[in-house]
Amino acid sequence: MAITRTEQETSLFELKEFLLSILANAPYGILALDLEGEIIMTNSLAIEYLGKKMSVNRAVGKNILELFKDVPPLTKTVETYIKRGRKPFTVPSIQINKRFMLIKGRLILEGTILMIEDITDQKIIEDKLRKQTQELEETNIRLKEFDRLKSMFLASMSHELRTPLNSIIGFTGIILQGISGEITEDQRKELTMVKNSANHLLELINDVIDVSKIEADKVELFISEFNLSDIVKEIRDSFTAAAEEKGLKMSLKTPKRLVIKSDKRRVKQVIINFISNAVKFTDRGEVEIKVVKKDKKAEVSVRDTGIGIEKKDMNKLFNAFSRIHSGSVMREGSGLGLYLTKKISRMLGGEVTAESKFGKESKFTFIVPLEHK
Amino acid sequence: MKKILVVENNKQNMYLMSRILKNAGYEVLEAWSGEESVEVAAKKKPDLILMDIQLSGIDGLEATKRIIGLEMEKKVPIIAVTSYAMAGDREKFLAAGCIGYIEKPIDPDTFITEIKKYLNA
Repeated sequence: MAITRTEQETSLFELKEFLLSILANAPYGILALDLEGEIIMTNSLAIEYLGKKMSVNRAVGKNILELFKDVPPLTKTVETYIKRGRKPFTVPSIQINKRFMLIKGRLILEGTILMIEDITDQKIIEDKLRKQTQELEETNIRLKEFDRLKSMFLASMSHELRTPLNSIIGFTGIILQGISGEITEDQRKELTMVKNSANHLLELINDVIDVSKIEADKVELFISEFNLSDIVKEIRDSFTAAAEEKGLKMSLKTPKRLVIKSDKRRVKQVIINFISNAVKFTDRGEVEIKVVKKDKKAEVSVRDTGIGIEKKDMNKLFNAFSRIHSGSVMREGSGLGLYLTKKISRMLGGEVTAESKFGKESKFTFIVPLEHK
Repeated sequence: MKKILVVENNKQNMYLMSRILKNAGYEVLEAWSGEESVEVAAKKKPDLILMDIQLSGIDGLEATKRIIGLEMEKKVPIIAVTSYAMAGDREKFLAAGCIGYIEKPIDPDTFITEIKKYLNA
C-alpha cells in the first residue's frame, strides 16, 4: 500500500513527538550537538544539571560553548573532545553548583551526544566508604602496633621476671644440697616449699609466654626424628618421685621403639602436662601411661584414678583460664595448661581428647602424626 | 682439674653457677662480656664454656663464633645457657657453633649432671 505525503508527514511528526517524550523522560541529561557545538536537541534535566534555568526550546539552537561559558570544565571538555579530537570520551566527575556530574560523550553522524548523570549521591557514599576504609586501615595499623607492644612487653617482662627467679630457685637449690652447710629438717621442709613455689611461678611465666607466642603465631616448629618411647620414659622418670610421695602407682606400656618426626620439645610439653595433671589430681590409685602406634599416628594416653571431671565441665576443659573446681582442694595451676596442649597438638597436626568418669578416673589422649607435614 | 669458663653478665647468676661448679670440683673462669670471653678463652684454654646469649656488647652468638674462629689446638665445647623465652632460638645457637644448651633458671640438682655429659662428649 502506497503511503501518501500527508500520512508520511503525520507519521514523521508522531515519531518526533515520540522521541522527544523519551528524551524528556530519560533519567539522564541529554544534549545532542552538531559539529560546531550547536544544541540540536536536549532535555530539561541536562539544562538543570549544567546549572541553568531555561526552557528546552530556548536552549535549542544555541552553541554550547556560548551558553555554558560560565562552566569552564564543561566547555573545556567540549572544546577538547568535540572540536579537536572527535572521539568518544568520559569525564568522570565535574562539579557544578556543589553537585557532581558524570559526562559521557558519544559520536553520532555529524555531531555528538552528551549524556550527563548526577553522581553526587554515589560520590557521597564513595567518599564515606573511602573515609571509613582509611579509618579502618589506621585502626589496623594501631592494632598491629598494640600487638607488637604487647608481645614486646610480654617478652621483656618475662625475661625480667625470670632473672630474680634464677636466684631464688638456684640458691634454695644449693642450700638444700648442703653446699652452704648443714641444714635442719625444718629448714629443709620450708626451703623445699620455697623452691616448689618458685618452680610453680616459673611454670606460670612459661605458660604465659607460650600462649602469647602461639596467639601471635610466633611459634616456630623444630621438626626432628626421635624415639617417642624414650621421651615418654624420660618424662615418666621425672615424675616417679612426685608419684611415690603421694603413694601412687605409675605404669608405662610402650613399644621399645616408636620413631616419629615432629617437634620434640612440643611433644614433650603436651605429655608432661598430662602426666603432671594426672599426678596432681590423683590422691590414691594409679597413673597409667600407654604409647601405641595406630595407622600413621602415635597415641599417648594418660589415665588416672583421680577426682575426675563432671560432665558439665568437659566441654570447657581445653579453654584458656578455665579452672575447674572439682573436689574441695584448690590445685595450683595457671589455667593454661590444657589450652596449650590443644593449641600445640593442632600445630603438630594432631589432637588431644579427654574422657572421664566423675569421681573415678580421667583419661587424656594425645594423638600426633608419625610424620609432621 | 677441669677448667670451665662461665660467661654471664648477671652477678647473682655468675655467683650461683660458679658456686655449684666449684663445689663439684671444677676450676671456674669468669667472663662478664662477650669480648672478655673471647680473650679469656684464648688465654686460658678452658675445657668447657657456658655462654649466656643475652649479653651487652657482642652477644653470646657472636662471641661463640669468634671463639670457634680462634686457632686453638683443641676445640672447646660451648654450651648456650639461655632462658626459656629464647629456647625457640636453639637452632640459632647450634648454627653459631654451640653444641648444646641449658635452660635458665638452672636447676642445681641436674646442672652438674648436664655439665658432665658435655665434658665427656
